[in-house]
This record gives sequence, structure tokens and C-alpha cells, in this order.
Amino acid sequence: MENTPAFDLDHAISEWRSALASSVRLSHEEVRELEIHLRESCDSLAKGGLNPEEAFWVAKKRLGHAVELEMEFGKVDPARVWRDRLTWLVAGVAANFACMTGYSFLESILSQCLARLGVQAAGPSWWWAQVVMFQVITAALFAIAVRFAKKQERVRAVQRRFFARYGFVLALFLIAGSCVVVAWVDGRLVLSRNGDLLGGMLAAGSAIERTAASMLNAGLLVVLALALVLVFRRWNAEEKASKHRQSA
Amino acid sequence: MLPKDLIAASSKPLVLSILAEGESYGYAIIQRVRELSGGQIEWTEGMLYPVLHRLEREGVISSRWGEGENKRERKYYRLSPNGQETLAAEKARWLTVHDTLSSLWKTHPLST
Repeated sequence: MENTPAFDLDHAISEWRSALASSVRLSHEEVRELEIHLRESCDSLAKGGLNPEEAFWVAKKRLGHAVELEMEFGKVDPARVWRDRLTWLVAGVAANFACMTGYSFLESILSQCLARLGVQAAGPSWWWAQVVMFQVITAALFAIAVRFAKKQERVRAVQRRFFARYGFVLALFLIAGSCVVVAWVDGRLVLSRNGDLLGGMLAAGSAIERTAASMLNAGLLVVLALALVLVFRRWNAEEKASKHRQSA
Repeated sequence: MLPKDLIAASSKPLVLSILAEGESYGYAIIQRVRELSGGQIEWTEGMLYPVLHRLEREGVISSRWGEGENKRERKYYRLSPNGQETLAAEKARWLTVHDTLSSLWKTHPLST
């Protein structure tokens, strides 16, 4: 048992806080009040003879499960639950609209810039614009994933979990990158065979575009599946909590 | 141990009655209930806060952030003037139930 690391109450509480914040939609003040309660409960249990770790677990158990808490806090202001849902819905629609508009706007600008730079000769500029946009979007998704991973406040665990959780974004990035390389090499091969640069580029371009489109579709499906899984898990947890309440 | 529905129903009069004794905060309210009920009323502690916040929204109690004796910040709750009336009404209701049951059990004593 000598290898067991010493229990760090502050660390345990900060983990508890981030778990609560991720599963329960509580205001900052509500979480602060619950945290103060947890600390006070830990102190008094420790005075009663429990070691700090035991005191923490008992205090946490007495405070209650996150799902139960969320439902009870939801009753304080039932409209808040619906306000939240509506906000997410509106935000989702707005974000979708903004993304689509932004995408076409940037694509057209990029396309014009590339045309002015004379990229037209080596392939249609709209195609290059799409390739660049795809890379930019993938990089942005990657950056967002990294940022969310850092928020978990568990630096070492994050390093391990990062590839498990966000590996698919990384894979997407690598696949997209290698697609461009393959297409470029392919284009050069066609060029060396036929001496027809534009034809080679077009062939490669349509291959990339098809791959990109199918990957985007696959990505959307993955996101949809994840959302369904989350909704189902949440629903399941609520069911369990209500059964738990009925049986108690 | 009391069933959960009875605990939920009695939380409002309990909280109001404890706050009628003077300003208090979440952890102390729970300790007081545990002590008075001899451990029979065991709340899931986190559930007290939604009750307090709901009462505050109803204007029955008010709150302020302050500092405890161990320099730890706490949110203190106190009964508002409105709360005194609500407590009186709650008390009348619970006494009605209590009196009814008492008189029934006096006339038809249960063989325990």
C-alpha cells in the first residue's frame, strides 16, 4: 500500500466540480454553494474519525447523484429547462446558417484569390479553394477538440484519453492530407504520361472531391450517432433515477 | 427512515420553521433536521438547495453571502416577512393532519 498516492481533497473536489458541471446545467453560484456544502461535510466527517478520502466519499454520496440534482434544480424554475433547450435549438440553426454562409463566402474569396494568382492554369480555382477550405475546417475541428480536452482539468489523463476520444478527428486530418498528396502525385503521373496537367489535376480533383464529400457525410453520421447515444444515455439515467426514487 | 414523498412534502415547513429560529445556511439546516428527527429524516443533502432556491423565488425567504466562523464563505438564508405568514399557514395545515390522525388513533387505538 506504500505506493498508493496521498489523497488530495482539493483535486478530488475539482474533479467532482467538473463532473457536475459537465452533467448538470447549474449556475456558477449553485455549484459554489454545493461545493461549500461538500467541504463543510468533509470537515465534519473527518472530525468524526474518518480519513479524508472516506470523508470525501461519504460527503459526496450524501450530497446526491448529479442526475437527481439536475432534476430537482430543474423544478426550481421549470421554464429554465425549456429556455435552455430553445436556446440550443436557435443557436444550432443560427450556427448552421452562419457556417454555410461563411463557408461559401470564404470559398468564393479564396477562389478569386487563387484565380488571380494564376492557379487556374494548374486546375480550376474553385477546386483548390475547396481543398484548402476542407483542410482549414479539419484543422479548426482539431483545435476545438484539443481545447475541450484541456478543459477536463486532468492533464495526464487527457493525454491518454485524447487519442481515444479525438483520434477520429486526427485520422480525418491525416486522411485529408494524404488524399491531397496522393492526388498531387497522381496528377503528376498523369501529367508525365500524357503531358496534360489540367486533365490530370481534374481527375485527381474529382477523386478528392468525392472522397471529401463522402468523409463529410460519414462525419455528419458520426456526429448524429453520437448525439443519439448521448440523448439515449441521458434518458436512461433519468429513467434509472426515477426508478431509484420510486423504489426508495 | 421516512419514505421520500413524505420527506419531500415536509421539507418546506421544516426549512421555514428552522429559519424562523434565525438566519441559517444549508449545511446547518440539514444538521438541525438530522438532530431533531433522531436521524429519521435523512435528506439527500443536495436536494435542500433546490428547495431553498424555490422558496427564495416565491419570496418566502431571502439570502445573502457571508463569512462563517472558519473564514469560509456561506450563503445564509432568512425568513422574509412574507415567510412568517406562509409558515403560519403551513403550521395550520400540518396541525390539521396531526389532529385528525391523533383523534382517530385515540378513538381507534392500533394494537401495536
